[in-house]
Amino acid sequence: MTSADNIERFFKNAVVRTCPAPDEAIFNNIRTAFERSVENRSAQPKPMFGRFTMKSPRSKPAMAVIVVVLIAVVIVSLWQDAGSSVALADVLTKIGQITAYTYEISITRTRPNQSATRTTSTGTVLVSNDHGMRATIETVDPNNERTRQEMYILLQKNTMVSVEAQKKSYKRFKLDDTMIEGFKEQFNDPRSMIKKMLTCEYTSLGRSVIDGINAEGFQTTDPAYSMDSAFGQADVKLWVDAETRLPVRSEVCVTEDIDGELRQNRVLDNFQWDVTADATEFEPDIPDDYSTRSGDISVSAFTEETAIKGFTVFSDLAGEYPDNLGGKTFFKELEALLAPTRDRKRNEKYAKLADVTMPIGGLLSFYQTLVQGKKDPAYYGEFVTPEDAGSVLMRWKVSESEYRVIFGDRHAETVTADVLKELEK
Amino acid sequence: MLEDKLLILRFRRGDCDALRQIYDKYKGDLLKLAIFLTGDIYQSEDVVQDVFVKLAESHHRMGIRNNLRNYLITCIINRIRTLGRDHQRHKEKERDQPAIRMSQVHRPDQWAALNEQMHQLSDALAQLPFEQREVISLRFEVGLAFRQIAKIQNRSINTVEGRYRYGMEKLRSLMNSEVTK
Repeated sequence: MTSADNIERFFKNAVVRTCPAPDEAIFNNIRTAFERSVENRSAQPKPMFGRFTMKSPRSKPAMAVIVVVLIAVVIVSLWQDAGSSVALADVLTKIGQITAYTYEISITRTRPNQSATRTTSTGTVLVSNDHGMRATIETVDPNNERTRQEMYILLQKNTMVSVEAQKKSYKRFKLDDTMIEGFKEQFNDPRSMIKKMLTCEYTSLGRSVIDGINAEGFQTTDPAYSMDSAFGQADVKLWVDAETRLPVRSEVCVTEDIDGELRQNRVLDNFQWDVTADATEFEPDIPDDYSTRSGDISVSAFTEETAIKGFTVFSDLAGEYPDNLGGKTFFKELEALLAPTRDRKRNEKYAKLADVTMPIGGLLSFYQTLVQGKKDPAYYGEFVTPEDAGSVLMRWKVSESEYRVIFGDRHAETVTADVLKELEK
Repeated sequence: MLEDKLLILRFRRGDCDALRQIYDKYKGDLLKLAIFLTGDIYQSEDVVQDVFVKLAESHHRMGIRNNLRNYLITCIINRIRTLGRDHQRHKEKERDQPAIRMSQVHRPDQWAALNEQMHQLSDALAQLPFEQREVISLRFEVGLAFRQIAKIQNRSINTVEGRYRYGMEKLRSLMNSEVTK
């Protein structure tokens, strides 16, 4: 034995095997540590949407379009949060009888470990079963700058409108029937939201006087409440008028972990139940000197087709799929995608900015609906490329034994759970 | 590589089967490396178990872009170097010269079972100074370049190449005597 080759051969032929009995015992120790870690982790918040970082002035409008779509989802979720903290059957019945109501909303976002990070949004929301929703929100950022936004979801016109006074601009989104039906269901049937609370453990806060009303309070910090939410671990309190059995106030404190602790407090109060909602209140007030850069933007329902279109647009421009759908890095990836250096390519295939942003926003929203619907979704875009025709890019449950799968080449198939297991190996 | 990425993804999502597959896939190679580096079968078993436990406890921090094999190997090297520093505080000699030859070791609950070549090689490596043993193990077992080993040892490439030459010379001599026994 005189050469390095021979030594190398010795290294290759040297083998260590493991004996079955101690092997199982050792793996059991490792598994115990793993299960404990998973259990601890599941009790912590799971942020879905990352920070919206918009450094490039060119990408700001595009990002804003996506953010507006997400805001619509957020507002619906806000109401879900508010309503679902009451789990009393007679409250469900009462709310079902209401055709229109208003409430005031206050959202405060802070980073406890950093100074000057407080952002406050306050406003009023009017909800009508017949006409839709109108929200007026004023936001004060950490630099004390104020912005005011009016948002309308118009059920009869299949339209969502966002008006921003400071910029004298507006955006109009055309929603398809499926989306409108989805919104209607959310507004008309808060019972489904309250039912969410029934699946959680909650405690009574007893009686107290809220805004002069004798109210009964309920609280939940059950992780199950936040499990399918995009907005972190929630501490939910809700007070119900002891006489009318309708909500009078809700407080939701959400702690997220996005580049450090981010705390959001949302308060909904001053509910006015069964108000008269005139159709004129749902006519967007857009002064003549306001303009829109995007024109009417079509927003498709959040379907498989929406998702595939979103994937197509993203991969056309980036050559790959986003690493995640709404996580910390997503908006950075999107910002890079919309950077000026990408303009030429974008202009060749996608004439309008909305041709890029809406499908991608739809993709995010579709995935979010899967998460919220507990469809066991999974996304593998971080390592599946458009060339990986046989690899699972995204999947979700469609029945007890079947999953719908979008593959790397963006064709979709329904497969059994067993086949999926093989595909994901 | 894609298989490992999928394993990491499932592992991060709390899939115990994925952990089992990672364990089954890498435990043998990690034990082998640890035995080469420590020259101590008991300590190697502990080190590999510790590394898997740490991996299990930090599943959520495992990056999808990480190379799983390299990640585990780095954990083994770091763990052994830490243990080495601890040992050095107490007994300088112990790390360099294990008291018991590997081929003489076996206990009923022993996790690792070594073939004849493994016994011979680990016994021979155990007689080298730790730094030389580490260079040769990382070179042959892990396939690292001298540049990468120099970074791990925080020494110049020349020093690492020198350790390699001296180590190989001694190893050849030791292995020759094993073969001619």
